[in-house]
Amino acid sequence: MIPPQFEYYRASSIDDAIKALSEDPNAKALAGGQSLIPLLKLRALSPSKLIDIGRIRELRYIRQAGRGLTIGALTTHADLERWAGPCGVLPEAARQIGDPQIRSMGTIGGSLAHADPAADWPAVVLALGAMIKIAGPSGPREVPAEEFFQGPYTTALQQGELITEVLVPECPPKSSYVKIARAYNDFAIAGVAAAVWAEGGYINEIRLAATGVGLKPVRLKKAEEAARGRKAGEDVLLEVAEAASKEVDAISDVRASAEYRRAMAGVAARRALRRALGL
Amino acid sequence: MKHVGRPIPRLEDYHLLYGGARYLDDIELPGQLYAGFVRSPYPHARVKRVDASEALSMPGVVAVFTPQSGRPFDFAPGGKVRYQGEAVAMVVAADRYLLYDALEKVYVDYEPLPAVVDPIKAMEPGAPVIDESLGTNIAKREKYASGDAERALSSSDRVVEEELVIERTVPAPMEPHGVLAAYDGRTLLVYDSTQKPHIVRREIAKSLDVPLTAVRVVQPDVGGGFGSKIQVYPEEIRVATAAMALRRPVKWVATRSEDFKMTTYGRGLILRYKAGFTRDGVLKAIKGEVIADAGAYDWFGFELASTAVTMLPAAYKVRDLDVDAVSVLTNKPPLGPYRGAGRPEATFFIERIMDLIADETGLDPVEVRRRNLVEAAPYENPFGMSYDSGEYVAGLQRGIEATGYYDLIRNAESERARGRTLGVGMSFYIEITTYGHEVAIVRAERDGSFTVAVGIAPHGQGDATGIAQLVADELQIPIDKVRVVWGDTDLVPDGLGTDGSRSLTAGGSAAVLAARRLLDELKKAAEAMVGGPVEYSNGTFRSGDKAVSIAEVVEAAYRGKVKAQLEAMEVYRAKATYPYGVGVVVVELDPETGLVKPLLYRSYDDVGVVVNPLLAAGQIHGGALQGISQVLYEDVVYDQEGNLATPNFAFYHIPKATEAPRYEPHFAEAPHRSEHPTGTKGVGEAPTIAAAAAAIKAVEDAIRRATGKKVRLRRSPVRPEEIYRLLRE
Repeated sequence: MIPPQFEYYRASSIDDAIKALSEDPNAKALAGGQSLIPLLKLRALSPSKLIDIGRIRELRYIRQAGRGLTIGALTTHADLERWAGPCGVLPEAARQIGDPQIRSMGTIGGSLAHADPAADWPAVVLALGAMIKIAGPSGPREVPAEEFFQGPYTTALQQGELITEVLVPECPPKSSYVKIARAYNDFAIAGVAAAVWAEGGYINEIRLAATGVGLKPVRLKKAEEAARGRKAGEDVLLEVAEAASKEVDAISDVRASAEYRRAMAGVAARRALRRALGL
Repeated sequence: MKHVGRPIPRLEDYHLLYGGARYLDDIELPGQLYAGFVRSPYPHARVKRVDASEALSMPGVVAVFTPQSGRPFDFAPGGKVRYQGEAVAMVVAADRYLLYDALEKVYVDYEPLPAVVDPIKAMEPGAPVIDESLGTNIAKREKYASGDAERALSSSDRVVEEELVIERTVPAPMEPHGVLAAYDGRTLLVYDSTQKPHIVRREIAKSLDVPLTAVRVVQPDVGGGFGSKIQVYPEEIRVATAAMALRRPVKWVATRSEDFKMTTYGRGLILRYKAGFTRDGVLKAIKGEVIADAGAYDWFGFELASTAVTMLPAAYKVRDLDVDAVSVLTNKPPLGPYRGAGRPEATFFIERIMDLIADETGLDPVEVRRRNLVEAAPYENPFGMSYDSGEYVAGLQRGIEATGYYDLIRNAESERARGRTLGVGMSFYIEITTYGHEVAIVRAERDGSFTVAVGIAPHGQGDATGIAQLVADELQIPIDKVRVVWGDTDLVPDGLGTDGSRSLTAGGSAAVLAARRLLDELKKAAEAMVGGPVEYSNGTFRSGDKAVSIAEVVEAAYRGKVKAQLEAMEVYRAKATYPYGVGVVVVELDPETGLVKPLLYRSYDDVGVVVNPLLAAGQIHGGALQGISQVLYEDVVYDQEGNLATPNFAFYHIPKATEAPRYEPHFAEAPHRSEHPTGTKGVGEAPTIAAAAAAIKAVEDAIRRATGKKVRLRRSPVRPEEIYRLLRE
């Protein structure tokens, strides 16, 4: 790796990190480094300073909280891959990220803050209806996942702010994440996370979210509507797929055309829902 | 105990797998400087001015070489850059980080020119001309004709016209390109991540106008090449020249992204053709042209096109052919050899034609091949290639049986009934390996062990193990008494390195003959020692009840008690030889997405004598995956302006273990030997050649099973998106 020159500072606490980040508008927080380091290697970024938050141990945890979960920002993909509690979508999505080396280093907070439009976690936190907890120079705040992602590599994070926690208010009894990619663990052409509350074969409540399709991860609200209150079956799955395909704002790039992405968003939505329902 | 034919684990394993390896970037020399290249962001531009003053003023920057530096740096020849990533200047600095900062401070004034990256468009009138001295982008065109193609076409029952495209691939070895050169006032020592140390030596000596003795090239451990380290790149000459000029060691190692910019690319051939055949499925004629997407400089494009043309008839009877080989300049890095170099393309083209005939006549694809195949070698193909040995019709039959091809077809049918969509494809290939001379020196050591120095330059293939087996058998000694060394121009005076599936055949034969000659020498010495004619077996010379061991003879010779040559050098001229066989690929298609996963590769190869089945199977594994991957994954994409849209592994997909199929290689039980002392024909490229042709057929087969319609695939790679579209047409 031959990046441009930068200073390095290892933060001892969240407050210490916030202070260091606030002092320097060109500083960047370094967590697992799985997105930041490649950008440095390519010299696509030239931060003046890296504030290494990777050793702040209190940010690495997964805890049950009522019917939900709290996940520390520095929890690695590998930690989540091993999670055996509620919110089964977490290990399911984690094992589809990168390779074992990447999963051992990369963190959920780092992935969310980086906001790659083809990343896996953004769809999952949207489907889980998560709150993103943020600490910053003007105190802590919470942003709903839906408001957090604003565009490619752009989030609600302000200067000096850090993600500290992902809060899932209530784990869905059924959930799934399906990624359509050229090969196992590649970036998503389309990925859909599903969170489902069903009883007696009826879908009472549902959240669907897609990644990889457009410029930012999105809730698939029309597809949710097609399923909400319906008896789970193949016809519903088809309607969900069709609605998902129609509602996404797909882009064309070197990986796929907008048309193909739209179709794959439908396939991913159908498969995610089917898998969540265990059909 | 015989060693040849046994699956002996690579003698190189401990060194390579337990951290003993030293790759180019592991080597550090005192006072070493680092070189890096300023590369054009434009695919085609006039270089008006290079301003290096700011870079030169940075502390630690030692030198900047620019177009003004002249030969042999030779930046921006003709005042232009012709592809995105072409070097325009070189910075030499004391520190690698500083170097990369300084590279950003060299200012180049470009005048962008219209670019063309599509070879077909490059041939059209009005296309931007890349080499003004040619006045056209057609660098070379040559006709290969035999019989009367026009007449044979007009007398055919059916004539089909189409275009088959094999897009470019990135060779992508684990270790990128790199070189380290140091001049001590007497000798220029060059460490180079290359497949051909002796060729590098010759090129550097020529460029610097010094005798060969002034240059020593060392090939350290090399992390793969796949053909991309055959070419001697301008970078290698420039680094050597800088080391000489600055009298300090200079190292350059490409980053992965830089490697994507400067390496030679593979494949990149198009066949436009008409083929005529009878209603019985017999191919009568091919008329057309093979067009190489040669890139900005025609280093190898024409050779690849002409190899693809001369091997196009394969082992089929067709003799009425009229095919041009054409190389076309485009604003891309130069085309180069890549595992198979012309033969995978020839096989892909002719096997696509065989599949087409099967489709058009309704005949079984295997039957079509059987009807067209020449019975057996020796056979001279219409372009004068002399196939040395083999039974093609019988080989096809054995291959189909060994691979269980029809069982796989039946399995695909029954799986379809269970909702899985499999596809099965087969190919029959014949290819050409081995050329040129090769050098080996066998030296007796004082304790009766032997050092074998070779001019081949293996880089992971395990040839040293194969050669040790051959030499141990020739000398009838245990393999642990044989050490094989290579990769240093001080060890042997010449050699052509490792490429073209030739190393074990050419290098091994040279070693066997050198060992034989040395043993003769030692036998004469033994006779002098015992005073009568001797018989040799298993390390001992015997005459009646007298016996003397090979170690005793060598020891006596080293002490001057008996006269004997203790070293023998063989320069072996290796003729071409022709392996052949059958490859079968099974894939699974997801009809909802168009995504395809390879499941199985089975092969039957008659590659002559198999010296080491373990090494041969290893070649089948890697080679087959490369062939399959070319069809399923590897996609080099350019945008309209000629910018590379797949500049690194984030965008360019090479297969990982998760994509690898199951491999089941079979080798001919009674192989047809080559004429070489080893009897080998080479196996390094055969699987790549067989697998790509079989893989595209497997994908086509899967789409047909899903749709019930006859689709025809004409382009490699097959993008999932295209399959998705075909599934819905």
